[in-house]
Amino acid sequence: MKKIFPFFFLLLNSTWVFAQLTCATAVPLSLGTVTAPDVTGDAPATGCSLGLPGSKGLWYKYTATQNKTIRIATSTIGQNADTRLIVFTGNCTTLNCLTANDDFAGTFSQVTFNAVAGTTYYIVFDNKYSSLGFNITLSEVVVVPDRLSFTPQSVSTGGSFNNCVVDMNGDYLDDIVSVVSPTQIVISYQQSGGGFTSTSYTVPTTTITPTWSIAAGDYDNNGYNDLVYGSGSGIAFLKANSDGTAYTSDRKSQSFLVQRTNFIDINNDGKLDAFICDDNAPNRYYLNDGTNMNHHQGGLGDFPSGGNYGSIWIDYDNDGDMDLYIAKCSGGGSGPGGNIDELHRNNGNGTFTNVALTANMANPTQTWSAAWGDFNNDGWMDAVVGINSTSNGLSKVMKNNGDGTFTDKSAGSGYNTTNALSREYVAHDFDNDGFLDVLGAGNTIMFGNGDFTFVPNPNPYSIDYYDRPIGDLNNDGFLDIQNGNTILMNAGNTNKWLKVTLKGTQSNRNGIGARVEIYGAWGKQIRDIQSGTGFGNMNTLNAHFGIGQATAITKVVVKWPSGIVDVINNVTPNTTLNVIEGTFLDTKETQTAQETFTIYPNPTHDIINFKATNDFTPVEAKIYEMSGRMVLQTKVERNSISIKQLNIGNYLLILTDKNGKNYSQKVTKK
Amino acid sequence: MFFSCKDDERIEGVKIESSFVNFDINAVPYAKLSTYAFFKGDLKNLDPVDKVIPYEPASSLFTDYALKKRFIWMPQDVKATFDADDKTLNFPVGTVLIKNFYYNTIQTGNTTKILETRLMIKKSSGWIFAEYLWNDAQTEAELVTGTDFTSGSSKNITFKKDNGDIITTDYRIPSETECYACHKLDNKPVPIGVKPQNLNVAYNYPNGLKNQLQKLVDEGYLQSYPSNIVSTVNYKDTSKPLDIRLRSYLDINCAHCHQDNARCDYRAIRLSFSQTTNLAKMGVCVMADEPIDPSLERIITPGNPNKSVMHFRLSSINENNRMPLLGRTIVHDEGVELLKQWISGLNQTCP
Repeated sequence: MKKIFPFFFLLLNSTWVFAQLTCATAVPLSLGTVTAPDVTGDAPATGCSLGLPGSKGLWYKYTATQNKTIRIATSTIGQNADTRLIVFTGNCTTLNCLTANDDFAGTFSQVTFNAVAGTTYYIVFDNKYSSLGFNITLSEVVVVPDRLSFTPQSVSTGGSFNNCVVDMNGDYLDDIVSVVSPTQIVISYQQSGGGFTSTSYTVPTTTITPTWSIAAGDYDNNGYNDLVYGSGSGIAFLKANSDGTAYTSDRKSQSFLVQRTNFIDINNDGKLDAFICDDNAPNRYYLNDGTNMNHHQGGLGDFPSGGNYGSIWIDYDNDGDMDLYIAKCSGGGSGPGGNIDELHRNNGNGTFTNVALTANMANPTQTWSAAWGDFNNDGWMDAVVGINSTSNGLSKVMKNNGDGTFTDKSAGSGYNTTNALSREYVAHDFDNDGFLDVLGAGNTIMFGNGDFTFVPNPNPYSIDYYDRPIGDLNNDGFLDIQNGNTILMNAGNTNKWLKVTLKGTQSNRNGIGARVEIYGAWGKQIRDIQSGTGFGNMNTLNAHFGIGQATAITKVVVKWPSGIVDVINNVTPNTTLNVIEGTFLDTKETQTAQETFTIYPNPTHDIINFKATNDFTPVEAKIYEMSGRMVLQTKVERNSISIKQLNIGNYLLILTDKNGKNYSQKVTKK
Repeated sequence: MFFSCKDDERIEGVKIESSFVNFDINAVPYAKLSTYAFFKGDLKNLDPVDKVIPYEPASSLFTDYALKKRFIWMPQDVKATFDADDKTLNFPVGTVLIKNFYYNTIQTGNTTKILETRLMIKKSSGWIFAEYLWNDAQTEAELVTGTDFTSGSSKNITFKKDNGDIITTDYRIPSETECYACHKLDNKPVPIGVKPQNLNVAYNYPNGLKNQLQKLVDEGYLQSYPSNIVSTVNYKDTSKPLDIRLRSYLDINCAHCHQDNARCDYRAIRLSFSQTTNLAKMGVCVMADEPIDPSLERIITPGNPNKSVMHFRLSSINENNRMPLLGRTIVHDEGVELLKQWISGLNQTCP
């Protein structure tokens, strides 16, 4: 054997003369086709987006002489090769991933990228799946440009569960939460000047990770968001301490297969509760008594064998409280299946009624989530019910008629011609044109046209199928998508935008459940503040609007879960507006909203009288200082109350009727 | 003929009808496993009384390497009938299926520990599930009831695998709805393993080897069975053809959900042994509804386990992409190896 060794050594050495075997000797490619030999050279250090590299590689390079879109494709030379193609920029000392592809057509690869004049691109093939030779074709192509492009930017997240983008330190800048293990999270805090600073936290006794879903909300109203993990064996809460610098956990004992999780104030007491989809049984929810999150089951989707995948809370009937829609998926059999979607109307008194059938929302579609939003800007929340399987039909586009019913607008919508599938369907305005889009149906954004038609981006995006949380990660007013250790930074366009951030005082601190409206040349746009949209991810809690080329926002209205309404006139586009509950009260607005209901006299030094209507007869009154402190709580008798005991000044009056409906108005004690 | 008062008759009836087993269909499930008197001597020995008949399907479900002892009992004078090779026997009311889950390599010291006993009892209204958890002293197993059964639980265990690996995991005790998730066909609870195709194989009874279906006939538990049952094999039996072994494995581990009218019937694959003669129903060259990444899009890519979603899911312990979804927290190395071998041997070209 010893004698053979030098022979092999020589053989290996001699192969160095074949140029394409190392980076340093990469063979220059030009337009046309060349044949690559068997894959026997140096392996690349990384497979980039393809994961680990093979053990061998082949090296080529291309230097652009002018800015062109270049396509590189492999094809067979008559044998069953299975190629992987990776393109790097940089130099042989420092190579940076540009793009990569494995199976574009059958087992052959293809990439297309915009080459910049003077730049050298290293084109590398590895032997992960086969070492057989193949053809390489390099061509210049004219591609349909992206409607909206994203620029990959690296970020160090630390963990393997990367499904949460939300503000965690109370500065309203979206941060990145990465769960490393049951005992560790890493939060990458967005800095005001851009970029991130990461902090690792040890979280004891969580025992689970957010394998199925994660949601964020400030359930103890202390100014720092808390988290809920959804796993195959129940949930755990992670609670931030008083300054957001440490987390404790509350692992709940109920063990069940969790799907979507949401923070939502189910009983509208100003404290966030948690709603939890149970895959196999009636849904669970944890009501917040101010100290504990207490387990309940029953009343919010009780199909015996579950099938509950994507819960989302919206105010579909514009009555000021949040309703529950459940995207459902389940196997068949005779009789009603667990796949029939449900729409639970909030009756305003702590009870809910499934109205899906009369609303025309009891679809059998096999769906894991639905994107809700006002797709035609008529002031009513519509839905795209997105498929995860085609076995019960394609995705459905449902228009809210404003009378409690929905009309199927799928025909011609763009969703009727795609059988692309997703777990995640979420509505955002990614291109800031003033019309909501949907990230969902494979790896594309379906850009909304404002009329229930949607057009996919001409080219699919490189996005993880599951973990794709959304937020504004560089605070430029365009929504970005986190994709593990890469952020797809929205390259933006000239459209303008507005972000509205909320701080509840009577309502929950996040303002989850609030309706935000903006008015301008486009008419009206609305958003509901939601924790837990899509299937497994947590997306930003900041309301984001695009307004196209409009130059003025005449009015922003925030309707809080408490019933308080804030109105802010003439808001500057391309800014972030922070609204603290009750600081922008507008008497005229609230009176208009309630029409004939009035209070008098105002200002007063003692008695306030209410002129009741059929719709609203107050039974209880609460009066708050403008700081949010409650100073008076009293029953309303004979349609009046006395505020004689109060000091002179301005106050916020909140009236509640027997159905739990609220009315708020600023009053002055003189 | 003379009958005394009804009470006397009932007491006498129980005694005769159930031989040694104590079974009152209106009173079950009992609070304690011992009350049934399925076993004689120390309960933990699981030594069956007369008419409590052991059985074992040709291939068994993987549940984190737990070992199992299964038994069947029926009231006197009733018997099951044959429906089809691939359909659960048509059992009479009063049938009890008893499945004990245990390990004999619990660390330290390779001790034997029974964790749970699951019963399925056929009442006139249909099958019910009863879950019994064993105490640490192994003297009794208590019925799981109320909110303990509407949610599941887990038990942290450390055991040694055959290959010597020491495994620590949270062994899953299912909730009632999780039992139902797998034991569900056409929205009704059903047994899974007791199909003629799985029982048409010999079992080593105390008095010798015998075909299990024949044993049921001999015991008066089964009316008859045909001689030409298309049967599964033990997937561990390397003397059998690879494809039959894999198809047997997929049947017992996957087909309860991946069949018509079951939990996952909205997915394309059909993994019952009677269906998998068709490669497309196994997922060969079929695009997965949920691709994993751009290289992992087909359920099975011939010749390439690494590009086969089924291989990925069987190899995963991440709850949100592993398969089976329920019943395992760790990888079944032997099952994955079997699948890998089979996929590697395929050489067709996908369209």
